[in-house]
Amino acid sequence: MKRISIPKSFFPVIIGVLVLITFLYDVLKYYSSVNFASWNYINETINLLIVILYYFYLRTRPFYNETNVQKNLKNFIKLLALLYVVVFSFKLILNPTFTASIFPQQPESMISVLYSNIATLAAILLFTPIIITLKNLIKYKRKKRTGLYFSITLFFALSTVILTVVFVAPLDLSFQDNAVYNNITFSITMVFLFIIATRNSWITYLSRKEKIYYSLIGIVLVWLIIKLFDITFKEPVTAHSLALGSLANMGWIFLSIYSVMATLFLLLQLPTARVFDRKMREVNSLYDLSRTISAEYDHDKLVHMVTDMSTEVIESNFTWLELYDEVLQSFKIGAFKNLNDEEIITLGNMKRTAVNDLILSSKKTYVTNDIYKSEFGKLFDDLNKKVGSFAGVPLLSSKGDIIGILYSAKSAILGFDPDDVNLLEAYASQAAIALENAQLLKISLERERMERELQIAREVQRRLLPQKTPEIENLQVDTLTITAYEVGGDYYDFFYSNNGNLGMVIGDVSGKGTSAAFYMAETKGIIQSLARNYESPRDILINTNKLLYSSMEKKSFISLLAANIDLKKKSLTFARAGHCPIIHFNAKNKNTSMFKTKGIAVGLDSGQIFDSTLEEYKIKVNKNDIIAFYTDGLSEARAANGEEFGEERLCKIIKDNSDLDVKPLKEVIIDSILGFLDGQNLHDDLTLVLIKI
Amino acid sequence: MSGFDISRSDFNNVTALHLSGFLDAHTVPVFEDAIQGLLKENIYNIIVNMQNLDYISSAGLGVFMGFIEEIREQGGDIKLSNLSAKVYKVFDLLGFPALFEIFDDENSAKSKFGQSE
Repeated sequence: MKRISIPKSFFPVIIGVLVLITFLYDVLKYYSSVNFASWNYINETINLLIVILYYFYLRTRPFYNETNVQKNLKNFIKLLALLYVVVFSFKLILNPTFTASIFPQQPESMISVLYSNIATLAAILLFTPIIITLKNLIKYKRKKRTGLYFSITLFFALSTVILTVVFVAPLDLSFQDNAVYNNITFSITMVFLFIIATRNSWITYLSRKEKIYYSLIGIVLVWLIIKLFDITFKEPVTAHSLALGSLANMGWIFLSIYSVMATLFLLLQLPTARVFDRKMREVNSLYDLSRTISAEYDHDKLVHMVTDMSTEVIESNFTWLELYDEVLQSFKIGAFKNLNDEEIITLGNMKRTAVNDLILSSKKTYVTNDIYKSEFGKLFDDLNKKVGSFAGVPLLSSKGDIIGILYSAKSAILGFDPDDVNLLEAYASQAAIALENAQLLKISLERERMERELQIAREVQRRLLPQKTPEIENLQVDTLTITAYEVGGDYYDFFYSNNGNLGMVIGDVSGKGTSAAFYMAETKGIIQSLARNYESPRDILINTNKLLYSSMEKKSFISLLAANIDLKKKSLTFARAGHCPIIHFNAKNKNTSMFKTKGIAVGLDSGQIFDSTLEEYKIKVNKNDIIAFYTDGLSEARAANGEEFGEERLCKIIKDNSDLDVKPLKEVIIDSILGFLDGQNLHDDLTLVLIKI
Repeated sequence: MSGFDISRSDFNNVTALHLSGFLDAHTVPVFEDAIQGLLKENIYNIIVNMQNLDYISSAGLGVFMGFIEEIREQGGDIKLSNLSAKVYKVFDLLGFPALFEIFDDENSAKSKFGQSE
């Protein structure tokens, strides 16, 4: 259904016109003794219409739906005061008189006619919004059937109005003659008004201060309201319009009952106001806490928030939160309130460990309401603060482990009643959950970050290793790389010298992850460029060490082995800088030998020791000889029982399968390693380079 | 995985750290903290006894390299003792014997410190 929208400005204009009409009617009635009953009805209808129109006009105003109790109460008081001021000032100025002998009362002068119109207008304009503010208060916490009672009351009130107009009878509860009908509906209206008047739950939620304030105001208001009808409405409004008179009468009764009831309620609630206040504050602060901390994942901020909020609600003199470090098995102060840095140091030095230990072992709250009578009487002596009572509440994780203790201290003795302790415990459990969540999030973020870092490292490593094995006549080369979960920093490379020799380097960067990958990249760049100028593996390694030493972290180093195969001279020259030895299978005598020549890893020494230690060695190689280069990931591959794969095993496999080409030989080695590991994960990268002459 | 533990014994002018278990990238911080702790106390004559050390990774070796320069600048040293064959192999492979003095037992390491005083 489409609602007809009436422009707002329409209301005041129409109302103004209607008011003028009723005023003219009153004037006419005063000057002429003629009184048509039908005219009277029209006049009354117009008067009712004014109220209804005004009501609909008020509906468009924001205050009509005001839910704030304070604002409604203030509106109420302002309107009431205004009504008094207006009506009284006009009464004083105009000094009206009415004949009381007949009903309804009649104005005795033209001035009185004017006054009766002004008073009625004031009643309409100010009394209607007063009733609306009452409606807002009643609906603050809507109970069952409140709406229904409102409708019933309105129905009987309107019936009373109509009956009063028709029978021209006063609402005096006399039930005599023609006053029977309107008095019956009037009494029913009163019963329902009374029921509605008990709906004042808004009072409960006022703060203690407000309750005191409004009960004092209430007492004055009750008196003013009870006087209101007699002083302002009784004569002038009834004289102007019976309908409005009866309406004002009922409105006033409602107002009186309501203000009396509300004031009584206010007074009754005063003794419990303090407790209620406190409970409200507790609930609110816990709500605040859970809301703020559920959105906060910063561990430090959380700790401070909990400390600050609990200080405020418990009204403690100072508060501090100790966090438990499981690794160090000790507590440290994570946050504090109302303590200065100096006092925190004192607190840190204090022998409060006894309390910590007590709570740590019992996992229960410790409270002492009179510190002088407790076992910790001297606990705070060093602190320049008076402590009469204190409480320590454990922060328990979901597993039931202690993650911290929230301490609260008051200078007075008996500072912690059971409610305080309960509240502290509620705080502590909220805080524990939040801290635990923050910790979990941190761990999972950290894990994610590391995962990403590893991915980058793996990618770098993959790109740094040669994309294909060298293809040289009379030489078989194959390589194997198995990367561990954490990138280990294994590295190998080939380079070709001008005279057709094949150079190669294999190495292992200490450490793992991105830093290993970074050093790997640097090493590759250096060696690639050195290999253009140097043929000798020793020269290459010495210069690599010189270049890398200064740029490397002290605790990092790289084991390297450089080799050079001269196919014409059938020789292998190599130098070993802390790397795994070379395995050489001699096809002629079917023997494997390992060459562990002298040399320290790159990055351990700036040059002197490195250079003097490093040995270059040359061996003869013949057709079908096999040379194996590897990293410690292979020799140290560990089975479930802790046994290592070892070089001997590798030597034996090569010897037993020496007739194979490098590719199938590699397969045999892989199978052997996998069989040895038997499902165990590699803890380091594994690299193998096989060369067969 | 496997645990790692350090115990400490103080002598006149030397402090010995006894390592046991697995010293790898995950347990390295514990070892670093231990040495850092000694340096804070101005202890620079350190023996690392590895009798009960089952495994050492390259990261573990890095700890020695990370501190040795500072310690030697202060006139101290780190000396190693009681290395098992397996652990010695790792040290040896990387050429650590050229950089660190390695002793069969703690006492000879101690007396070596005594001589240099």
